[in-house]
This record gives sequence, structure tokens and C-alpha cells, in this order.
Amino acid sequence: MKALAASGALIYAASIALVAFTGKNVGNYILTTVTDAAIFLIITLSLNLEAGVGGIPNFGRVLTVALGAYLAGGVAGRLALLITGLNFDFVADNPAAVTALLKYMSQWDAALVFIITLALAAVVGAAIGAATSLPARRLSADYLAITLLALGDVAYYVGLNYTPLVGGTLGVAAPPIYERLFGGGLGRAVGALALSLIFAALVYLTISRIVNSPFGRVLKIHREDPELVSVLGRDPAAVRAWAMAIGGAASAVAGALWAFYVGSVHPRGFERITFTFYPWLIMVMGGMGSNVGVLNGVFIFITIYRLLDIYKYEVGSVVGFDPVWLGYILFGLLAMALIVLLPRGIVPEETRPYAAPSESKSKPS
Amino acid sequence: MKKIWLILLVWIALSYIFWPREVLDALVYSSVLILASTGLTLTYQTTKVPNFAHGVFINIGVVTALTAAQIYGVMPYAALPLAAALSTLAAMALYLFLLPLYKRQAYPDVMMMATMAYNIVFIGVLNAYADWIGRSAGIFTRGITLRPYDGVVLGVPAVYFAAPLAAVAVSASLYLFLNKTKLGTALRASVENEELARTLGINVERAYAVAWAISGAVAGAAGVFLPLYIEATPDVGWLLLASFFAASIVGGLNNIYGALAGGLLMGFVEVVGTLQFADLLNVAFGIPQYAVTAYRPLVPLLAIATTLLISPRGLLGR
Repeated sequence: MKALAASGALIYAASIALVAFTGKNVGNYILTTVTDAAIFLIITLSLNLEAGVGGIPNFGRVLTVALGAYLAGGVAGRLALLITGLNFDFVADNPAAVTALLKYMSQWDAALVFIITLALAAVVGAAIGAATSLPARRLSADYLAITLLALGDVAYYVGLNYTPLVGGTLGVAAPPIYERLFGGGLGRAVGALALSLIFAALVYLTISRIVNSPFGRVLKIHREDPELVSVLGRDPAAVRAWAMAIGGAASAVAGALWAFYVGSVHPRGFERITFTFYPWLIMVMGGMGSNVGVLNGVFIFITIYRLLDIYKYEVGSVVGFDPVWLGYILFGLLAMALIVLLPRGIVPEETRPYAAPSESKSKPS
Repeated sequence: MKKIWLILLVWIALSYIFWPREVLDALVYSSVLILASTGLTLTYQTTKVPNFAHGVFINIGVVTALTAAQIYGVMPYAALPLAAALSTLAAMALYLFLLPLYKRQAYPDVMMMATMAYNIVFIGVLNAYADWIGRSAGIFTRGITLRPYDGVVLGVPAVYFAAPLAAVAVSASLYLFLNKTKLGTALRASVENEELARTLGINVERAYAVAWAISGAVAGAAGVFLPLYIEATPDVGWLLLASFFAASIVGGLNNIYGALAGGLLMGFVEVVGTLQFADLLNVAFGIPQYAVTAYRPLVPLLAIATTLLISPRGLLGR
């Protein structure tokens, strides 16, 4: 199955050719798709560590992603005003505050706010991740999945109804960190891309190391049967808490990066589909437990997603309805087809037996 | 366990004195929850997968009712047979898709992902349909209720009678089906011990298929009642999914009749309980009611968490 290990890159390259051929803006396409891919890579890797490797069915991934985005939207903005010494209510006077920050915030202040926000996202994300593992102390996978699904809605409803957080239904513009760091236009796009890629690479290396560490092996055993973990002298609840803390931290950082990159935070963007279903789709597509698979899956997903967006007028005029719905239909069917036809994904997880297979000659009784 | 019922009844009776409108609303909402969650519990017991696509069957009912009532000007109840038929088809299709996965003993999270994917497909399909029918027939498919199309019985909208009646009728029929018919007994046997049922010559797949068909039909009917009560959209079932699961879990996912008790309790907790809590906070701290009731969608989560912490097998029944 190694043959498919470059399928993500190939499909992405083909999409660049298509975009160039039809006369759309190729440079813009590459800049934005790679940034999207980097951020979704972090989110899906965090999900893969929990669900793919550890067997924790986190159908509430959106919770910590939204948390990171809310920190970037609600907390980073106030922090920036505080450091700059400006006196605005960041949420209530959002446009004025952002304009003032754009004018008066220095580059160093912007960098400081950026670093503090991401650190805060990692810490709070880890705490929330570990906390959401608590109801899981003695639950079977399906109860746990339902609980996490319901927990995933918390960020959506709280964000929508508690206006001081990120402006409620109206949302807020995120503080202009990237604008101050890299300037406007192309500089901002390249800067956002570079920062997102750096974090994606860091997360990829860290999570790959974790998967191959003793803790990663315990997680794989947890996936087979949580009871077996206690045989090893480890508490399955603690294993779950650690895995969900790491996943929560990584996905909250991704949420903050997303908010800075998109430039605004709208609670309505944090329903279950974008940041729960799509990461699950990417993971199932790539192969559960396989980080290389996730890398391929991200590029295939982002390619389809962005092509639908770029050609939405062309597609819409053919199918006769909003291409958003076509996207849902396509992605749903894709996930269903993959589960039936390629249950282990396009780049299946490498599985090595832990014991030497020499004993296998004697038949297990 | 009898005590809980007594407390619930006394609470409802007392609430009716001060919040009569909300109690009636809660009755309708409870009925919808019962209809929706009964199927959810039933299908969970067969293929052992929490069906994240259960909202699809509700949505089909909603869309059918919106279409029929507005185009033909009939009472939404006329859409019941069509809605039940369509959502049965959708449920059977999902069952046939899940069956091979169930047989090859796929991981539970893969099964759940499969139902979620099925759900996303239908969110796309139903929304596309809603766009199309809205444009071509000039009707509203989002943000309206069908209350103007409802009948009036004894001075109140007919849905206040129709929905509870449907919930009672469905529960009674389900009881008779499971206990008095051969197929129902076969279904119970299959759920109880699949291997043993097979050795007795029971066609387990067929029994499960019947369970899924019932689940779809009943949820489709629930969907018809929903736009008579709230502003239903083509994906309202997806938004209310946590409520359906809360009703099932509070009643006990392993108890076929659990959803009946869970739906009744959760309906009143969500509608009346939230409001009373908001009123209490208003009197005590001067917090405006809407600032509390806006968080009503989080009540199911609290109920699920509480149930699982106290007694994971359900608070009521057995």
C-alpha cells in the first residue's frame, strides 16, 4: 500500500495545474491551501493521537479548537490593548479597537501577544482536554462518544450567547497580529503560511515521537482494550487524560492559529461539521493511527474543499443549488465509501507485533 | 424508582399552576423526544451503534411537513404517512450500509463515523432540496413554524393533543409488538443474546431490520410534529441530537422502554425546568431570564453527564 503514500501530493499538484489552467490566481491558491492544510493537519493529528492511536472516540474535537480561537479572538485582543495602553472595550468597540491596534501596536508587542496567546491556548487546551476525559473514567466507547459529542457543542452555544466572550452572534475581528508582524497583502499571507507550517511541523514531529514512545504503545494497547492497560500497571483513566490533554493542547493552538489567519472569530463557525466531522473524515481517509496517512488525507480534503469553493459559481450553475450542500454530500459519501472500501485508509498504520512471531508455530489453544 | 415518578408528577402538577403554557409546551416537546428517542434506543440495542444519523429521520419528517402543508395547504398531519415511509427508507438504507460493518466487527468509533457521514450526506441533500423547493414552489423552508396550518381542538392548537396521543399510541403499539407478536419476541431474543437467537432459527438480520424500520418511521412522525412547535429547519434533527441522546441515556440505553421515561423527564426538564431555574436566578440575583434560557441546549449535556456519573445504566425504569 506504499503506492498511495504520495497520493495527497499528487492530487494537490493536479489541482494546482487545474487552477493554473483555468486562469485563476495560482499563487493565492497555493498560499491559502497550504495554510489551511497546515492548520487542519494539527487538528487531525491531535484527533489521530486520541482516536486513531488511543481509541478514544473524540466526537467533540471542535471544543478545544473553538477554545483556541476564542482565546485568539477574545483574550488576545484585550491583551494587546492592555500592552499597547489603549483604552477600548475590545468586543463592544471591536472595529475601533482593531483600527487603533493596527496603528499603535508595535511589532514586538504583536509578537509578544502572539506567543502569549499560543502558550495560553496550549495550557488551557490541555486542561480542558484532560477535564473532558473525566466523564470517561469508566465508560465504554459509545457512551464516551455521545458525551464528547455533547461536550463539543458547549463552545458553540456559550460563544453564541455570552457576548463579552467573542461578540456573540456577530463575532469579533481578531487582533491584527499578522498585519503588524508581516504587513498587509502578500506579506501577511506568506507570514501566516510560514508560522502555520512551523507549528504543523512541530506538532507532526512531536506526535510522531509520542506515538513511537512507550506512552504511544500504551495508547495502542488502550485502543485494543482499556482493561489491558491496567494489566500493565497503568491507570487507563490517566492514559486517557494524558492523551486528551496533548490532543487538547495541540488543537487549541490550531484554533488560535486559525483565528489569527482568518482574521475573525464567529461562534457559528464552530458547529460540529467543520472541526469535528472534517478531521474525522481526514483521519479515516488517511488511515486511523497513521500520521503519514493523515498528512495525505489533509491535502486530498483541502484540495476538494477549496476547488469546490473556487469553482462555486460554475458548480452551482451546473447542480442548481448552493455548492456548500454539494460539499456535504460529497464528503459524506466519500467517508462512507472509504469506510467500506478502504477501511484502513490510503496509508494504513504500520503494525508490528510486539512479541517475536516464533511462538506462533504452536497453535494457540 | 417509584418515588422519582411521584416527584415528577407532583412537580408537573405544581408547575401547571404557575406556568401553564410552558407545561403544555413541555408536553409536546416530551412527545417529540419520546418518539425520537424510542427509535434511537431500539437501534442502539440491535447494532450497538449510537446512531448519529438519527436526526436525518426527524429532518425528513420536518421537510415533508413543510412541503405538504405549504404547497397543498393541508394540515401537517396529512404528511405523516409520507414522512414515515420516506424516513423508513432512509433508515433501511442506513441499516443495510451498517450491517456489513457490524458483521466484520468494525471498531465502534468507525461505526459511529459511518452514521455521522450518512448524516452529513442527508444534511446536504435535504438542504439542497429545501433550497430548490423553496425557489420553485415559493414556500419557506427555514425559520417558520407551521402553526397557522394547525387545527384547533378545545380552543388550543391540535398539536397539544396530537403529539402526546402519537407518543402514547406508538409506545403502546411497541409494547404490544414486542410482547405479543412472534416477530417482536424474536427481536427481543436477538437483542438479548444474538448467538442463541440464531441457534433457535431466528433470522436476526430481519429482526434488526424491523427495528430499524420502526425507528425510522417513528422518528419521521416526530419530525412532522416539530414544525408545529418550533421553527424547524432541514437540519433541526442534527441540532437536537444531544437532546435525543440525553433522553435515551437518562432512560437507559439498554432498556427498550427507557426512552419513554427519559423523553418525558427531559422534555419537562428542558422546557419547564430551565425556565424555573431562570426565574429563580432572576428573583435571587436579578439576572434576566433570557440570559439563562439561552443556554438551554446545554441541559442535555448536563443530564447525560449527571446520569453517567450517578448510574450509567439510566436513572429511570427497569
